[in-house]
Amino acid sequence: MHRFEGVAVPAEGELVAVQVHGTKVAVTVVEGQVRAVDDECTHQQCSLSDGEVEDGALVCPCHFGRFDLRTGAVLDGPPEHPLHVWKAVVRDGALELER
Amino acid sequence: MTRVVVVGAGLAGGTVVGRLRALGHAGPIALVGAEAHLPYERPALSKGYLTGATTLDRLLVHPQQTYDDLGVELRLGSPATGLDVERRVVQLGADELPYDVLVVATGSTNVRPPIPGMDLTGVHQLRTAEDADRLREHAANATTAVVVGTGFIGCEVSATLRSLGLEVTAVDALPGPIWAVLGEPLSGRVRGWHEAHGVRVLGGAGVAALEGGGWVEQVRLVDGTVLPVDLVVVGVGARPELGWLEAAPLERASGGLLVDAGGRTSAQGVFAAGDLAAVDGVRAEHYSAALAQADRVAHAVLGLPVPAIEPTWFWSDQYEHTLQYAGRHGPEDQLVERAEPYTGFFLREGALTAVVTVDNGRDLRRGMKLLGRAVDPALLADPARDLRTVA
Repeated sequence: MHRFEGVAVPAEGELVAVQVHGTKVAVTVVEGQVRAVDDECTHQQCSLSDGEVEDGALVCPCHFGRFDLRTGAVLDGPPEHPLHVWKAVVRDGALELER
Repeated sequence: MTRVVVVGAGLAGGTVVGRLRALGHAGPIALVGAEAHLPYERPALSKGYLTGATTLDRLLVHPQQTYDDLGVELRLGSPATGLDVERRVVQLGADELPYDVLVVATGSTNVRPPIPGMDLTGVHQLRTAEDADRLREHAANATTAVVVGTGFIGCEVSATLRSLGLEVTAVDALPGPIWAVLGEPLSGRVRGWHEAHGVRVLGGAGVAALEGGGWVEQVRLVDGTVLPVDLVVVGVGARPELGWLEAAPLERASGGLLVDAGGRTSAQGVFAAGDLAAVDGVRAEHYSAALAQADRVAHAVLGLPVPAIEPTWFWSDQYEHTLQYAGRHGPEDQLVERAEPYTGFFLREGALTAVVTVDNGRDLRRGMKLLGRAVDPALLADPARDLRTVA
């Protein structure tokens, strides 16, 4: 488990990127629930934290592949492989992630 | 059971077989392709595949295992040569392949301009992985390249060859890069990227001839300028690959096959998707269009409600920049710009017709949702204004 002190939890539908032991993780909040997935798109390795959150899905900024933020599954677009989903909670105001 | 034959093993063809199975088609599917490869994505051929940074197996639409799992019969390296819509058979040379439903997805072929010297060794065009392999091998032993045509392929190849260390001159009869699609001021912006990286960009520079004895040695421009060279790439556009359909009674539009939103051609049981499909008369040689059309065709083939037509969009990666564009604008449309990162909005009678971004896919996505809507230009021009709140 990795705890981030002093990292602001993103607002609903906004994206931030954090580093955990060399892995970049994209973090957002959907319906009050913090969600975290690997930041690297499984299609062409674009940074998903530069993308967009739409209806509980994360949209890659490069080729608009869409991933389910809850499961990491590909919803549509070019990616073939799902995203890794991190366990994410906010505890005492700080973000905690676990691979 | 309905037997589906898909002719054309590119992005559209590879996608449609996957979508047919995903949507519940249980009957036989055959996928026919002229190339020996499984369907692959072509965009990287002018970029990462050309440098060698990525390999063909990473560009596959689906891995071999997927076709095995889906029970798709692959007829690769086997170009279709004819179609008989009365008997419902595709001709593969001496072979015949019967179908109940046919999906035509043979894509495009490169325009070969009538310039003397196109047959010289060292003159390349780019469509297939083999084309890219030949160009990569040649580039490794070349120092000076001329790229003829500064559309998207020409611009991307110029950027890639430059990144490989070649001296590159990019020429076009039009005034500047990607002129036909974007015009100014985007053309000037793209020109700036190339010039900043040391590529010489010559607009208004028609090519009179490619010259040499066996190998290409120089490019002669219409104005008499001679450019010494040891490698030439010609990228001046594409046209639908319809040669095998010459005798088939399929209605044409915009140089391709006329289809409706579900990809239905004028012949019973024949559908089309990808570069050659003119959806309600409009063709789009874009990745996103091929994916969306393949999905809509799969729905139509199975008698399912066809998803709505979404705006098409495309991207072009050049050097460290990604340019993205969605919608379709006309020459009279008003351009409203916001900086930086750059976003351009095209308006007609107050409604958004197209949006273009540089290094800002998020705003392209947001802008796409505004297409067709009336938007206040002052809000569009304000970089502090979130595009989710302008209409």
